[in-house]
Amino acid sequence: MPEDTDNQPLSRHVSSERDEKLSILSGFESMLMRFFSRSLYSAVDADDAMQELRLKLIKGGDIDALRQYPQACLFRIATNIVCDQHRRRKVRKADDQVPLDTAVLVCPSPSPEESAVWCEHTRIVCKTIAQLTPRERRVFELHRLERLSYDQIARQMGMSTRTVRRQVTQVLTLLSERIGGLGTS
Amino acid sequence: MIEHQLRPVSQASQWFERISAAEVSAEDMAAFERWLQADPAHMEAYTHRAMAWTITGQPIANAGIDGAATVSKPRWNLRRVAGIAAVLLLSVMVWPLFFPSTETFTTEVGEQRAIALDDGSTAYLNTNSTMKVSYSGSVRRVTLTSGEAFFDVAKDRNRHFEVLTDMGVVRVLGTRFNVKDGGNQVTVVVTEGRVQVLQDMVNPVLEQNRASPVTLTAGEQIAFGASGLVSNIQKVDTSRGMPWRRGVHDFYNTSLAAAVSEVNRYSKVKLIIGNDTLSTLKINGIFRIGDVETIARGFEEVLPLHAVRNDNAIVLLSVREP
Repeated sequence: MPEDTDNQPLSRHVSSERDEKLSILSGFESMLMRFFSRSLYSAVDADDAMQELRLKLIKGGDIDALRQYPQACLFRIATNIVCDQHRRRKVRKADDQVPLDTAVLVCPSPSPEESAVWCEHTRIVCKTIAQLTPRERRVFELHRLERLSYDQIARQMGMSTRTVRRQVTQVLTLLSERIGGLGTS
Repeated sequence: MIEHQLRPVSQASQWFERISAAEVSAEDMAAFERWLQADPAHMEAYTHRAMAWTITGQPIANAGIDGAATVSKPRWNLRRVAGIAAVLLLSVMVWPLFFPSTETFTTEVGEQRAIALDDGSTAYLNTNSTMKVSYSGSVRRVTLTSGEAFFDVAKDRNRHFEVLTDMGVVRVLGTRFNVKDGGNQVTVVVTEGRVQVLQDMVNPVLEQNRASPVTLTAGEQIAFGASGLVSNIQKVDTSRGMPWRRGVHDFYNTSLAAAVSEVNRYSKVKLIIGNDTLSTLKINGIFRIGDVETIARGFEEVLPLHAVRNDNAIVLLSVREP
């Protein structure tokens, strides 16, 4: 440790807690890395995500919870990072520049393999969405593209929050099943 | 609590929802820990759920929505189809008087038309194309003079449906397929049923002159030129039909040269490749047909080039000029 902590018991405590967190993390690092690189479709983004997880863990992670259920805590942070990725995304920024009704769909191609998987999954998404009723499609679009909450969508569409949640979850479950059915690795 | 009798994919979906919420109870954290450790398949399903989240967060989902909505754009609207249908109905009524009749349909650059044929079949004529229709009691004959058309053919046991091109005939009883006359070669893609491709330069119409036919089934493609087959039968993904019917270009490992010539078919503003070195670059993506400006911007995003506007062209220039 580069810090001079001789006369600072608090700092020493923080430092040892930090070490413990990182040592717990190290046991799951390869598992998390795999989760990130697959769910973000990019090795580069996975590295960034891992770095972000490390920072979040050190700053805000509850050490007791982490000791009790390490994997759940780490994957909770990881899940939130995946869910928030649109804020950090730099490469696939077509939606920032192009109005939604003329959106370009550009397969990012950092590496051919990743790009092929991305395109393949894109096809599945298009196919699945084409099978929805216009109303279901609208609900899904509001949630995933306009990023409205279930409550906001429910108000706008005159539906119950429960129905909105069920519809969105159904589509995402179906998609994850179809993605899984391809035998991705 | 998440029920154990649910399939892993549904359990994963519910856990993903619950874990990404602002507040997660200690009980849930403990249960999530047990769930993750119970079976490696759980982590796998959870990852797929996260992938589904990412892949739908991109404008992709929107392109899918757009693609489906293309049908209701003005040029495809019901009134127009109804108008064509009405014209055709009228022509059916007067048809016997001028038997056999031939009708010609054309599209401008960028235009697409749905043509309801009087046997219940539909022809969709793509950009810059010409097609003649002549039906008789024994054969339903369409001549594709230039361009591209998709045919949704009504079943009729007694009358073949034939598409004549300069380089060969495509013949069916009832199916869906696409014929593209690229000038020096004709490409046929079958999306449903079976079609016969009869390749004959001498006189495609005369039965006795025909070379042995090639039969294609759904998901297959073949190309032929004036002097014979250009390619063997190839597999193509036709699960979503022809991209142009959805109003999109669907490029998949397509060279920039091929993509540009495809884009230009639909537009009076042309894309021009300024540096030869760019031609072989590969492009992946789905783009709206006809929106050349956005397509050029899309190319700029992913390829090392920049687009320079001219009067009636957009020139693509390499950013790594020596």
